[in-house]
Amino acid sequence: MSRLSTAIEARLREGQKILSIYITAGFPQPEATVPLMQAIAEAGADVIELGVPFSDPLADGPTIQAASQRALQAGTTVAGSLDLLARFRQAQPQVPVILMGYANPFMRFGWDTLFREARAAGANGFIVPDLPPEESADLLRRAAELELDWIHLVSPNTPPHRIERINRQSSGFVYAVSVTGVTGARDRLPDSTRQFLQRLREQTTKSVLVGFGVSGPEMARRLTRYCDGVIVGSAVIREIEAAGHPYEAIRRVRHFVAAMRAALSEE
Amino acid sequence: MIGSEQTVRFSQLPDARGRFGAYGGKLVPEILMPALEELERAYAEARQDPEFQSEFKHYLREYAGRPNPLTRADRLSKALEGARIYLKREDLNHTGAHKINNVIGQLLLARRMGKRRIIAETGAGQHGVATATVAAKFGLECIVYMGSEDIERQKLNVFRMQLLGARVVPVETGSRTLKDAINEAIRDWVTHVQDTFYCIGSVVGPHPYPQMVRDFQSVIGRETREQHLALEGRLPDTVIACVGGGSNAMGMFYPFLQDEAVQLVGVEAGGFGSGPGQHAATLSYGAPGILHGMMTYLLQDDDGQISPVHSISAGLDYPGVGPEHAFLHDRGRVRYTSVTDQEALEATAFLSRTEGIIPALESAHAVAEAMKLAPQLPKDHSIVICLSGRGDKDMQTVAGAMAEGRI
Repeated sequence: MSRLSTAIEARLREGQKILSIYITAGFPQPEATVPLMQAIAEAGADVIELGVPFSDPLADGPTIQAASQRALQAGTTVAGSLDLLARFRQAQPQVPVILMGYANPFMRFGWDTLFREARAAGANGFIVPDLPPEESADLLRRAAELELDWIHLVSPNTPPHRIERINRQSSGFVYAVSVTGVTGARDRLPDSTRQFLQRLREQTTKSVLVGFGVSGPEMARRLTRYCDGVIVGSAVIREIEAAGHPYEAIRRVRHFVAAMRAALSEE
Repeated sequence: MIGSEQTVRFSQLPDARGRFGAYGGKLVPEILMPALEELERAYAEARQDPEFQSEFKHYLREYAGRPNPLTRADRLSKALEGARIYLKREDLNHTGAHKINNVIGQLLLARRMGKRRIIAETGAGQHGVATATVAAKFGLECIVYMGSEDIERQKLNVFRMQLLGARVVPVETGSRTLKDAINEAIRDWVTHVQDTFYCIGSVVGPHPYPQMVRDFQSVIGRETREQHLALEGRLPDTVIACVGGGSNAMGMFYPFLQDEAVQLVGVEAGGFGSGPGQHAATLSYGAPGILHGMMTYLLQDDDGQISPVHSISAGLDYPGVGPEHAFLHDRGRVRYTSVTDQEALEATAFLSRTEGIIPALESAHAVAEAMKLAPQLPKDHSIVICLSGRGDKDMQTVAGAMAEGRI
């Protein structure tokens, strides 16, 4: 079993819910990423998703679009993102890290080189939102040879035959998109999200983590009644944006993640 | 690549996975997969349905004004002292460009699928205007995404869309041009996927769009074939069309793909240089990659970030190209080349003065290539230029160039 799956299952066995935190590599500048990741890990995140920036992130809302743009302007590349991960790993060998990015920069880097170097840098898996299962079956086999998991997204409008395939092809966990739309913190989620998650639970055998729109501790706590954990991205980026200074950003993110952790542990 | 290279006929693609060789596919977030499967089914049914086909033909004839003529350009041919040149007059369609052929087809399909909210992206504004027009005719809601830089360049078309009842949403992200308008339209689509039909304006995007748009546009090539046969008793020797995303070119080329004697030439926007950000000549300078739901050639940097592009014509200002063009480029069936902004401007003036036809700056790229080729060819060589649109929308740009003494 992969490190990601092992870590998730161990936490779930303890009766805990999974907290996965996303940040964009190189945002607001490359020097910030390793300290931010450390703060996120120390404050109680179970998984870190490190976003590899792309010029045209079409599944992302304004917050992550702007973060990606800033990271690219600061010179962040695929190789640079892997380097940041490797530096984080020196200090933090345990917390699983998933690389999340769009297909084109990865393809340009070369998939097999990417898998090899990602593994060497200490990555545990991939999320590539613009590669649905039928377009990635071969890639995830090659990734699996290096013990890299491949997480697919499932959304409220995904029909049963696709859920079945996504469940079968995903390793680590299944990423449930809370509502049809792009990423971005939302004040509230519709009732249909709960029905979707209940339906999904019956149709999947893997752990289900919910992302897109998760904005704070209270929403996360309510959501985890119907799933194994939450993924928070834009709300974290907003904390970083709101900070005037790098130290302030680290302090705010640490505080935010700790509050999320505390809320999930209440249940 | 596809299985047995010898036996596959160009015209039989895409395959069941929506691929033209290695290109095309459905590389989109999961949220859109059910919508694409629904669209694929609906289009496959409509394609076989004689009623849909006759409705499509009806609107092409009674509303768009087809067939349009294949005009012999005698004074242009004479001035170039070479091949005989014909112009396929897509500029004479309702709304002034080839774009309406595809929009009629897609909105008939939207109506059949019960989708009443139509979204579209536009670069030069021609596809936006065509979509707003047909949406008005069919009584559908219409929202058009347009880069704020293009809004600035094409104010007249923005006004036309608004007059037709469409809402034009300015896109402020990225380079604020066509590519970003597509990103924003896709984001709208993932958010309103249940009731929304995305009417893509070119042979780009995820399967089945490249196939569907090609099929709707291939009326251009079919008419050209018949008209040329009637006028000359044979097929043309060379057929030239401009390529941004490549819909007028694909529509023109498709019915000729199996006729190996017919040379097909696609003309990209060479801008003002070969460096990044100076042109939009994707097949000339790009490399394969993934954007907007398809595998195709892209203008990108070494890190796989999409490059800025430039063309004097907003309709060619796109860092990708239709996947079928990528395939035909690799196979060598179509020769792709580029002409510069300056050559396109000169061709605009030349065609205006010799034939009394003001071409769109996009179409002027095809005219410019014909002006290079014709003098080297004998008088019995027949060239067809796809005159994809009329130039009224570009008068501000052309006037600016004249004021600078460029033409």
